[in-house]
Amino acid sequence: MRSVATLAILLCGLQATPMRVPVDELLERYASGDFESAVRDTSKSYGLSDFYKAIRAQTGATKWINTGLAPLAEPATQAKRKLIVATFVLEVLDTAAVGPAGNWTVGQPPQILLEYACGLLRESETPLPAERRWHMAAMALIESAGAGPALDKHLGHASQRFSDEPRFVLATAIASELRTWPDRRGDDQLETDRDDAADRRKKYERAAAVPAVSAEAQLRWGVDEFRQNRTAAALTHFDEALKTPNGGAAPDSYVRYLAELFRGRTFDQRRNFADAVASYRAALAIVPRAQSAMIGLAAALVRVDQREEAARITNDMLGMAPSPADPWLFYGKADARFWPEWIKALRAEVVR
Amino acid sequence: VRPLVHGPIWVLAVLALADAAAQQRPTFSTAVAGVAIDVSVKNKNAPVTGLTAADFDLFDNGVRQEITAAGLETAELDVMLLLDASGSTDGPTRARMTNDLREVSRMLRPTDRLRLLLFGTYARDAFGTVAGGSLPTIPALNVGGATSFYNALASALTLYTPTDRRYLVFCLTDGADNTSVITPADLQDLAGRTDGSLYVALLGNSAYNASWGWVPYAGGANTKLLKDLTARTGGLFYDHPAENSLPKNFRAVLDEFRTSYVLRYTAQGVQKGGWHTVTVTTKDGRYKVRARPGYQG
Repeated sequence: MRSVATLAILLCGLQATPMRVPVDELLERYASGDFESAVRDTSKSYGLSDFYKAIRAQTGATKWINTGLAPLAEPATQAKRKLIVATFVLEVLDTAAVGPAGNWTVGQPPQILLEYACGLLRESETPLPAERRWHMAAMALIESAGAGPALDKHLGHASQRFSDEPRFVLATAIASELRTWPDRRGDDQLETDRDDAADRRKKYERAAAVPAVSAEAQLRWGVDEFRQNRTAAALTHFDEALKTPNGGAAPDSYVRYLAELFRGRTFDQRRNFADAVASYRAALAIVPRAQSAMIGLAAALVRVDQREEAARITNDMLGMAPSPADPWLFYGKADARFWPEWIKALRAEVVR
Repeated sequence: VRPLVHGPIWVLAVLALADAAAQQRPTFSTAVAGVAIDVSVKNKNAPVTGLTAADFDLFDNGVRQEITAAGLETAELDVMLLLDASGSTDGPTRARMTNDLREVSRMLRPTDRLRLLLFGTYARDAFGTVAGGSLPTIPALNVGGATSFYNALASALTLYTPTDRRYLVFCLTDGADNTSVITPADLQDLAGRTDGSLYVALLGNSAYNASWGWVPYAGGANTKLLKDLTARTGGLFYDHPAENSLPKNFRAVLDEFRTSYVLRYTAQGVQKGGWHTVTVTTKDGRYKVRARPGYQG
């Protein structure tokens, strides 16, 4: 039937427009575990503004939450369905677009959608345990865009619901830090908010006292000091980041690589190129083929007159496929490295 | 310009007449500094030919040096092209780039060598080193959608070429950089130490492209930096030249490069390390002289 209808439209000289799949149908598919295709079809059918309108419409998410799979939803089922809607929204946002940061200012579709989903979850007085993961995934999404103010706003809600979450403590500092990026490269001025260094320092200090995120807090604190040209303080923090925190898990490779890379950068700035070489080598032992450390190493080797090795490393670097997971490229995206793990856990909750 | 004070390069220069075994010695510190300085001499805009060592005055850190050789350099070239391939180089873009590249290749002699470095988020060697006049094809390399221009520049500057060849680095760019770990200060330092001559043609207008989400750096081209880098290597910076094609810009660079003199000397009466300021003039003072301002010893 559909092909006949399409043919009829074409014969009439009209342009066929893609049929929009109703939101409740997409939600039903998502809830049954058909994650990728439900999200893909949503992205095909809707822009973010239209998706927001559709999901807020009477035939949208509210209808599905109340009258979907179960005949009459009990509060617990309702809460579960709200989590499903909220997770679906996160995945649609991830597929549609996360950057640039300007997309996340108040009133922009990503911010409105996220706020809507967050609000749905907060309607339940007692949060489901999985809601914690949802807030963390939302946080990762906002960090991907580098949107400090939006992260601050979201953390206000997330921390109220889960005040004991270590990553929210760290993210409070990250939200402040994100306002300071990007740095200038060209001749032109950039507008960034760099005036809250003291406030940021307090936030890093607080996060550094939380074992689960201590190493990462020390790393970021060090980077902040490095960017303010306080190299001795920066090195102290990088050293701390490389130590396994008492009671916490060993820092992951992202943290260790970046601590070594920024040690290298700091030694370069202090014109201590021999130690810079050692740091870059240590970074490459953690993430081989990462171009950020390879080029840092080659440049430092030139400065200690090891030009032959510098050229060899550069030639190797240019001739090989680079590591796709160079942590330097994800420094500002912080928690985004956990997105696959967190969204997987949320999906498991959806179909449970 | 090629300051030859760096270990392996100096070794090759000085031991060119020595036995082969001696050339294997890893010599990273030396008491002798062999230096080669590229010098462009012009009468108004026309290159001046026919000068000899006796026509030049050269000072290294204020100390007059004896020029042992001077000539319009005919040495074979190692050419490194740097092209921005961020985003996609598929389809027509790659075909056009390949045509341009082949035109550049045809400008070179068979004994010259050509290499292409494509950069985006990453820097990649497109096809290795090929002989001048050959017809390479640009492969479908994915270098990512961001721009690590400074990393690519640093890559070119950390390479070196045998002393019997000259190393020319040419970059066609909009000057944008948003993901390099290498800083302007790093580049300035490397430019003072490289064997190569850097030429940059700045095209278009780079704007802050934030479509990526978080990036560490933003802003348009740093023209002041690019001017400084090219000057440090004895090269030239072309700020929005009239022509915007790769072959036409490269032709201008090659003409400039091939009509420059190379002055060679062994530095006497100066400390080996640190920055060496070099000044070159013609004795009669009639001509406009452009030379590398110095080198890192």
